[in-house]
Amino acid sequence: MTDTKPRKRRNAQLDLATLKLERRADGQLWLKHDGKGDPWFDAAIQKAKADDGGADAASGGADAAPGGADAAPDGANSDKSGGEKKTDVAEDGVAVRIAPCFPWSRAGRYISVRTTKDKEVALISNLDELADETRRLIEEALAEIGFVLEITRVESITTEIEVRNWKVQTRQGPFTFQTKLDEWPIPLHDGRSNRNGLGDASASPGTLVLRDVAGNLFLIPDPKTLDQQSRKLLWPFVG
Amino acid sequence: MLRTATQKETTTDKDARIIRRYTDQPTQMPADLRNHIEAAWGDRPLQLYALADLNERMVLDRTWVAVGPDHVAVATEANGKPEAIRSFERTRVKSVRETPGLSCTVMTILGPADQPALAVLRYTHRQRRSMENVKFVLQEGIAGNTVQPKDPDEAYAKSVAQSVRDAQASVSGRKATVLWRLMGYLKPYRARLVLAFVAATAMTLLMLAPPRLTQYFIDSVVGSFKDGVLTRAQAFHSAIFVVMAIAALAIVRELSLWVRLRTLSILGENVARDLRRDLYAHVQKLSLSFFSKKQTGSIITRVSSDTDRLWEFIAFGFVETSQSLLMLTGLGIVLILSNWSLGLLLIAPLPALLWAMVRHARKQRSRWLRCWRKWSGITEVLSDTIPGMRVVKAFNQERHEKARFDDRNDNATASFNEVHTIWTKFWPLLMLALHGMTLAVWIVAVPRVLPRAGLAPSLTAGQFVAFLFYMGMFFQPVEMIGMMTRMISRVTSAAHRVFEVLDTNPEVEDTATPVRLEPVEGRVTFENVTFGYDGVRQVLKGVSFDVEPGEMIGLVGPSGAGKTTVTNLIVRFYDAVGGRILIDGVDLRRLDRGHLRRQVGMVLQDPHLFCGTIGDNIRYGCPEADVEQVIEAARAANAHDFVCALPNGYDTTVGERGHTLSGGERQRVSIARAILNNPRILILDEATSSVDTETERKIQGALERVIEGRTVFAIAHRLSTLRRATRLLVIEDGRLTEHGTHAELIEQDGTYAKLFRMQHELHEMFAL
Repeated sequence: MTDTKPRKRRNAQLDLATLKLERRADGQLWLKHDGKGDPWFDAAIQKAKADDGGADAASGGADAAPGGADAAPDGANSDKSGGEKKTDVAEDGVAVRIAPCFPWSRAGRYISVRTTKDKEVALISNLDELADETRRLIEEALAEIGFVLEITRVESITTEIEVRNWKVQTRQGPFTFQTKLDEWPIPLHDGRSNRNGLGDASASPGTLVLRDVAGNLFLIPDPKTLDQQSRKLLWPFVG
Repeated sequence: MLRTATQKETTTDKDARIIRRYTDQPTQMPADLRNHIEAAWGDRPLQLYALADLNERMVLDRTWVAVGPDHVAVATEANGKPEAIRSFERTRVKSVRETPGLSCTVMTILGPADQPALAVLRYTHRQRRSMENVKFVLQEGIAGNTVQPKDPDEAYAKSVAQSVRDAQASVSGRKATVLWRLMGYLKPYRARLVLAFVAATAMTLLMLAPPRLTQYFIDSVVGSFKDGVLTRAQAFHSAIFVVMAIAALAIVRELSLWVRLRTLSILGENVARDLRRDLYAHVQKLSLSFFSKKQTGSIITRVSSDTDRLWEFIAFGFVETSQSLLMLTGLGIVLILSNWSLGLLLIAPLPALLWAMVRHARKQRSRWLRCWRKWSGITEVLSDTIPGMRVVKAFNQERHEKARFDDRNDNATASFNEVHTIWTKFWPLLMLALHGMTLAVWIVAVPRVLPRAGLAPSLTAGQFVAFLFYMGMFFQPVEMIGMMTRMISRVTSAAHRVFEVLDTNPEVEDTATPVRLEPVEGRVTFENVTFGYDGVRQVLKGVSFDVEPGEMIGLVGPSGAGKTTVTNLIVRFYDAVGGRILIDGVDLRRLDRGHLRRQVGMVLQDPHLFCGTIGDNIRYGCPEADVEQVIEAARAANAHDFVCALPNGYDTTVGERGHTLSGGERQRVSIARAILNNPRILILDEATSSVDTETERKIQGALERVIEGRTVFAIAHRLSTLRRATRLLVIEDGRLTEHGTHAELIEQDGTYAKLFRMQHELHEMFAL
């Protein structure tokens, strides 16, 4: 609750060039201790271990204490994953996951490196500052979590009871999905105002994003680049 | 009660239909693959499976993961034929990791640390539920608990179809079936329906008569008079007959119209009332689980506006369509019979006209869709900013919001104008085509009406005029039919939503011979109770306890641990999946639900007061209670004093349009309501957590008075509110982890002790 100050200091001390990630044998990303006895890293490991020890009490306490709002996200998260989340930590490093802060509007920048208990250990504003191997691992992880289906051709769009049924070809293969009737594709880049769209992503202008009832995201390229049939079917949804 | 459709499809059939229609994946694991997997396991049965629909190259593909009692198998298939099956023992699984992404989730099944993963599965969100089931079963296995899912095919189909099922009110996929079922509601009004139909048919056919009379008048009366065959008096006589016939026809026609409109409007209203009555009665019967799945708004629309749409269809649409068809057929026959060549001239372009209208409608549909999208952009800004006006003003963003609105407003207007440009062009063009047809009729008819000298006209003037009349009648039914297609699809959607509710069965039902406990003592026993809302994942995992009558039990634990679920099971909002719950030693399922619930009082975190007076609200569960009892209950609930301070006392109207009570006052009214029945069991679910400390103290005072002599289950996050509890049950992750008195639990130094210390410290901190 009162650790905002030390956290700031920690980040200031971290030299991104020394940040070293590895992929463990089981596929888990592992933030590696560089062995030089970096005080920042030691502190981070100690902190992670402390979090781990008090894990159950902390998540319980967060809900129980009326004022403990800032600890609440932990409780919510451990709940979602079946209450088994613990910080995976050893002397030589800590298990981490990668979370892009602005996956659409600032793709590839502002990447949060977090422990499995969802505490931030580093915020990378620019991947260029990283060592090559670490950068490659982060880019790989970003590609995996940022994966969306990309529509290349629209076969049919039919309005049915309560849902709109889309049959499409995607870069990943043929796919059928449904959207709610009041769900519309959102322009990735909205020339009028950033607040309407998802922002100025690196994707080409005119690209749209659509969400289906299951929660999948679909990228629709600028209809101008598609075949005539797709263009015609997409017309009511674009512009 | 009026339901006619008897062949109801089972839930699994429904899921299978959704999967076939809306996805590209099979409705169940291919039998061949399943046999292969079970053979590889030494004929151990497959218990649960899921499909991972992306491969390691992130291309859509089929990889199945199956769980058996001792094994896990990962199998790829092509067209239902097994390609590669890899099995490993469940004892090797040490953990399961799920990494969610935007459209792809990666699940890793891990062996011992620092060894390569046993399996890596990638899938889109549609598979997520079924994959989470697999994860759950594996994780429970690691924890040493055996979970035996009932039917792997059912669990798979249910999970995959879930997202569509939630979005769509799916009763029956076909429009015809739904309409047919709706017709079933007309049955009790058969006689009136026939009357309306006879009237409508009479009206339609009578409309064909006046042109014929005109023809008779021109040819036989005027013609004969001119030729000198008839005298003026004779001609006048015939003319009067014609005029009177036309008048009589008009009267009969309007009379039939009156009969038709009146009968059908009233009939439609009755059918809508029947539907609403059945619907509301059914909604009251449904289990709470239904209401947790559907949004309140959507249930309200079904009972109100959807039934209204059905009225519209029955009162007008149904008859209009059939009459339009009748009219067209009648006209066609009359025209061909009176003059086949001219008749053909009129009828032949008809398909072309219909085609043009259909095409126009289709084109307009996509334009309207665009308009609708833009329109929703406008309402989005409104519903965004109007409730948040304080924020807009506080951050000085009026100009931005105005610009945002103007932008969307202009955008929508442009789209609407586009639609207007098209239809304003279409209708005059269509009319021009009609005039063209009229012209064609003139061109063909004139030489016949005015034949070469010496020849008799092959078309009389009267026939020609009658033709012109008939032509004018042609186009209205065509237009009507065009409109009907839209109406029918709207009505079927409405009927679907209505029937979906009617087809949902209550999950909790009384046995044929329910037992009544008189009186209820208040002993509550849980015997190894398991419960889950969705069938696979369990919220309660084997909870056992025994509560003596008159005990106060505090339920403690983190959110989502299952505390509220325990209380929901005691009042039997849901039935336990495994184990038993006993009240005074009798299985809950054998008890009369209504009788039981009268013996249980509930005070919830956010009490709902109904529209009515405070007195009515206190009396809600027990309308026969007299005034003294109400006052007594209010006194016990610390409510009497503040009620008397109100100018209208107990007659103060509360609810949506009435007097606004504060949170603490409402809570005390709800406590009075809960104890008016003198319930043997009292449930307090976070009764004091949404009010300030001062109010809490008042409510606490009320509660301490009313828990006397009853079995009480209290859920509270503030542990201080549980200090009167005789025992505390700590529930974590669906299990009862600690139980005992406050002192005992502090002694044990477990979760409760930790929580207590933490809150204590917090208290001290704030006290400073």
